[in-house]
Amino acid sequence: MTGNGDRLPVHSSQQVNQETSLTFYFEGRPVSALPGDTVASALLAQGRTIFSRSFKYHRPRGLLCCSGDCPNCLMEIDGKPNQRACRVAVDEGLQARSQHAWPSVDHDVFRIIERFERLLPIGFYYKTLYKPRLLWRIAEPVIRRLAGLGRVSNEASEGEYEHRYEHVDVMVVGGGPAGIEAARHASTTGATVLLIDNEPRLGGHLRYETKPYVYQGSVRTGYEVARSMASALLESPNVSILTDATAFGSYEGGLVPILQNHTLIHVRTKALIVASGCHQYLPVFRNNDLPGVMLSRSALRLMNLFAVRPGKRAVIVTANDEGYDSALECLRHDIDVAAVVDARRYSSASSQAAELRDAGVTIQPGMTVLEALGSRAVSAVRLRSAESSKQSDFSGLQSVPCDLVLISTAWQSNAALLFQSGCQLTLDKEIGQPVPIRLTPGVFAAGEVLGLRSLSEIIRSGHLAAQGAVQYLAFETSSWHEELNGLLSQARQQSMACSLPVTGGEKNFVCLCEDVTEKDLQQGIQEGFDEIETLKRYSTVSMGPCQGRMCSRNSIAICGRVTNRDLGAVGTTTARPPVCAVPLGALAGPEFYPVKRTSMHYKHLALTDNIMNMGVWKRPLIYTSVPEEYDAVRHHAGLIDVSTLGKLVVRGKDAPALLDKIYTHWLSKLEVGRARYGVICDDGGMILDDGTVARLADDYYYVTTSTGNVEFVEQWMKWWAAGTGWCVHILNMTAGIAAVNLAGPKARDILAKVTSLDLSAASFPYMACREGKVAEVSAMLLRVGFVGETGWEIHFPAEYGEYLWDALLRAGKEFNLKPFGVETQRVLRLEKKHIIVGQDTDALSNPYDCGLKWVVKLDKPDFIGCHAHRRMQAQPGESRLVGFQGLSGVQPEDGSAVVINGKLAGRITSARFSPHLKRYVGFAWVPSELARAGCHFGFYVAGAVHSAAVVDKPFYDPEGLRLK
Amino acid sequence: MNYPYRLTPMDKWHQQRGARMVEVSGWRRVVDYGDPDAEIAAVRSSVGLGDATPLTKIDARGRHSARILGGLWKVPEVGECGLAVSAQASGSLAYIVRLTAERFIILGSPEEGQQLYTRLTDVAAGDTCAHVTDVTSAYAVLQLAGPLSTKLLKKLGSSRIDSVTTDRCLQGPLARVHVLLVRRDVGNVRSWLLFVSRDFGEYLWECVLWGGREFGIRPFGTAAERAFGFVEAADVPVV
Repeated sequence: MTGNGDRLPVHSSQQVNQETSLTFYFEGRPVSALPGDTVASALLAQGRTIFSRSFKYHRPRGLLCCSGDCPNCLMEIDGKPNQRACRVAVDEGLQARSQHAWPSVDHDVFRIIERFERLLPIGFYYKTLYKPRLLWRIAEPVIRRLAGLGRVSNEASEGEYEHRYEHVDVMVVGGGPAGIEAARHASTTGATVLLIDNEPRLGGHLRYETKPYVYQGSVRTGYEVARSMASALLESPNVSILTDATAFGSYEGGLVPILQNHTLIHVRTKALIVASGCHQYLPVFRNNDLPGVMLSRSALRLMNLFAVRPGKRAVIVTANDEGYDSALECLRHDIDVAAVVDARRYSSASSQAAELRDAGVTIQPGMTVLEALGSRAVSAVRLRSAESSKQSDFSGLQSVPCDLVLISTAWQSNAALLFQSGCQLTLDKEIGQPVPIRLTPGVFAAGEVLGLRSLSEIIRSGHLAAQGAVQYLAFETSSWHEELNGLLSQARQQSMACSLPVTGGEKNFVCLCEDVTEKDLQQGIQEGFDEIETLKRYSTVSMGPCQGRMCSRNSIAICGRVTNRDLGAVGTTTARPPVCAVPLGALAGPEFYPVKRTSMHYKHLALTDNIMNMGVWKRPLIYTSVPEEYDAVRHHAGLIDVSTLGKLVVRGKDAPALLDKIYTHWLSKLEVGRARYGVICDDGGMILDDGTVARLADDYYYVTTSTGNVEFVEQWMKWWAAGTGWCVHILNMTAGIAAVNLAGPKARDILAKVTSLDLSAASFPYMACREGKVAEVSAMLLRVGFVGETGWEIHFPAEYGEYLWDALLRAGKEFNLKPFGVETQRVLRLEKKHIIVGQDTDALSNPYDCGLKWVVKLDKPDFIGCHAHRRMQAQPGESRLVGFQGLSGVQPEDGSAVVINGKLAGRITSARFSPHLKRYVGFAWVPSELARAGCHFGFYVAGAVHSAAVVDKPFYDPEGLRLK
Repeated sequence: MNYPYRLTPMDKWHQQRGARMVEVSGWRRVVDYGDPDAEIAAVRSSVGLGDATPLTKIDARGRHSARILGGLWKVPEVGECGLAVSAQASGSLAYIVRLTAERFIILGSPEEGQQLYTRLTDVAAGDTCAHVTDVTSAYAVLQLAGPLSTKLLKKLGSSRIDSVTTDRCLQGPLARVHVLLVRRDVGNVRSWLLFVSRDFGEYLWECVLWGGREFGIRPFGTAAERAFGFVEAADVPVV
């Protein structure tokens, strides 16, 4: 397509720039557009009438609302499906494609589906495709392909969406006259105000209105009033304005998320003013979905913002005076007005009506539309009396040729945010739309969302809402709603509401998103789904991309009519967030995956690329091979980075009392310079964590925890210390202290090269701790033996991590010292039968069943879990954690089932090959009667049961001589 | 450089970007990344990121901690920070961050770290419920400076930082990790100190740089710090 299409003369209301042009692509073909155009306006200017195909029947669909409220212009734009062409601004080179049509949107062969409409009633797949079961498997992909909403690209785009956070005093949703006034007034009080609007410019419906208004004592056109108000707001202090932004939900704590382009903004507001206006919706009549049927405000947008003429000969279908304004706009833009069809019994006495009559336009009161005629677009409408509600009543039937049907019959308030904020709304018959009857504290409403129509009332309501919000912030009693009620009373008196009767029929579309017709709803109700919520779920009405904007009111009206109930009795469906479609990528946000690296991380990377994720930590799994590393530890020496261990400093004169309370062991009796293995249990006596507790001074303990539990243990200790009045403080030093474990028969020789501490067994015995210098770095050393060899855990400031790692490896080179990874450590600890909490235990494991009875000191007067432990001591559990060795050569897997006499009786928690025993060893939960050395049980691997024998002592160095 | 020296968690990142390094008070620090003028320009016009981890950090907590510190310096209110001069300790300076009624972080220069710690330990000794711990190793400190620094922080975290004026602090999530933010403007340069658990240091550094791409963020070294007088203005050679 070339040229800028059929454009109206330049006018100051327009947002397009007719002096230049740009090119984008539709279906791969170049399309000329104007800067300021949307994809939809540019295509319409080029003569396109069909923009999409319907969901089920592949019927042609044209522009309807031009405000993002309907599904009729959904397209794939720049690779993203389901973009509304009426909301996407044209960019040079933009690529737009139709979706859900083949071979093209103009000629879609799947239109043939409509011929089989009788075979596809409401919920047909529930009724027909369940037997045989294979049928659904065959049918589902076909249905998905034929009734879809575009295709999502499989190519993930990293970091496309961003999150941002804002905190404001007052948030105003809606940049129309009410919202602008609310923001302006609130800002004058010093409150921080955020105003958001989903249009590119402020002004609301005034932006595309050329009719005159009296504003601030002078007569100005609507768009001039909009610009004047917006300019004044820009000069107001404390106001931030976000345009092209949509508030898609209202959550607890004043959280209102906003989507603006590729940014999700989390706004926390103290007061929320909803001035989101209202929208027109489509009445139900036959072929109401044909291209050419358009909401009147949509036509105003096209003409006054985009300089596009939506048709050549129009029929205006109205039930209020706004339709007369639309007719006058059409005449002003050289669109022939064939008739104004007013559903009200008496035609309007307004000046607009008189002007139309003077222009020779036929006004038909008491009439409405029966059906639109045409195949690919409207060619005529047939009219009927508005008094009759029967399809078969053709009294007053007449046909009027036209290519444009402008609808101005009813409004629906954009009240989703009010609903989600907990406000109570009810349908006000006089006003003709739901209005709030109870607002949640801190939530206010203004403008057309309240049903107000007069500009002065709309602006006044914005002022009152801001007044209420400011008083709310100041904890003052507000009387704003009293004057607001007065405005609503006036609105009722001036109301032009007149709902159109629904007519019954097959091609009377209620839900354009899901192709649900009036007949479908009637059938659903007859099948028993006569409550609006169940009818919604069964028919999927209001569950499509428009989320009920076009169909909610009509479906309620039909449900009420068929079930002979008042609309109030039918109720409404729940307006859940998100209000509009939000890409999952926007919710996910930027790809932040917190990663913890130890201070020796890059030294490990230089030696191995076999790094594992352990929670948020990165740890080396294997450096060379498990046998090689194992051999080094057992016969020479090994070095492992254990910086990931939790490290807590517990200080204060009451630290001994707290630790006695937390741990099952005595820790107040622990001598300074000594360390002890400790277990933490809950009130029920179940194991929560374990670790080493070292006493550095009378009031100073150094506690290690398992890697993933440090935050929990820290909080657990603080919880139990709170309120006691004890002088005790817990400080998490995990990040600040690096740690390595140097273990093996040569460990003492290596360490002696880099420290002046006396490392002899007599001076530095097993389970002792000392502070001193290691390679000139201040360190705390613990004599522990998790891997079953003579060893020291060396704890030191993390910033020396790389240095000390290198220093120790250098010192150990002559002793064949090697670094070893997590996998080798698992083998080594299993040979010593040292459990790992969380791996070998679960939430129902207690020290007695795990063979840790020795750490429970029931002679302590009190500790967490002591009552349960006293009971457990007298009454053993039904299963026990035991060591085992495999009797076959089959490797037991972590988690393998333990089988006794063919029945499930437990599970294996850890198992590895023991180089020492030359067979598989591990831990397993077995029935307590089997928890004796020599008892056999089976474990299930790869479809077969294999034998294992219980072993009660450590598999390696059972006397612990190598630790001494 | 002397050996052993202390490394910040971002040390490898600095090296991989060709940073010119130097030893300062036992720490290996970045002088610049090859173009100090561009680093200065970024801080002046948009936003820059510096590694301030060597800053000495002392944790003081306990029922009597406010009284103990009050004997040395003027103690700020909760949520506030302040540069304080000690009359008792030969006019020594400290920058005190008060997190709660009973918890403080005292910042000092890397050179005076041990001296500061010893002084505090001495005054907290005895039968008091106040405990002093050197947490220099436990925190990485990122200095974010420039007119767009607040905007960048709002992009990365949900804390209410709009209301945080200079010499105030707050805690909250930033790029999904817990961070203590201290606003410490120097002259007319807006500046934030971000305290994060050391093991998240490199992660947060990369997140801030990622988030700051649209603002033209640049990492800066000690050359830029001196140009802006971060050292002199604070009178605590923070970086």
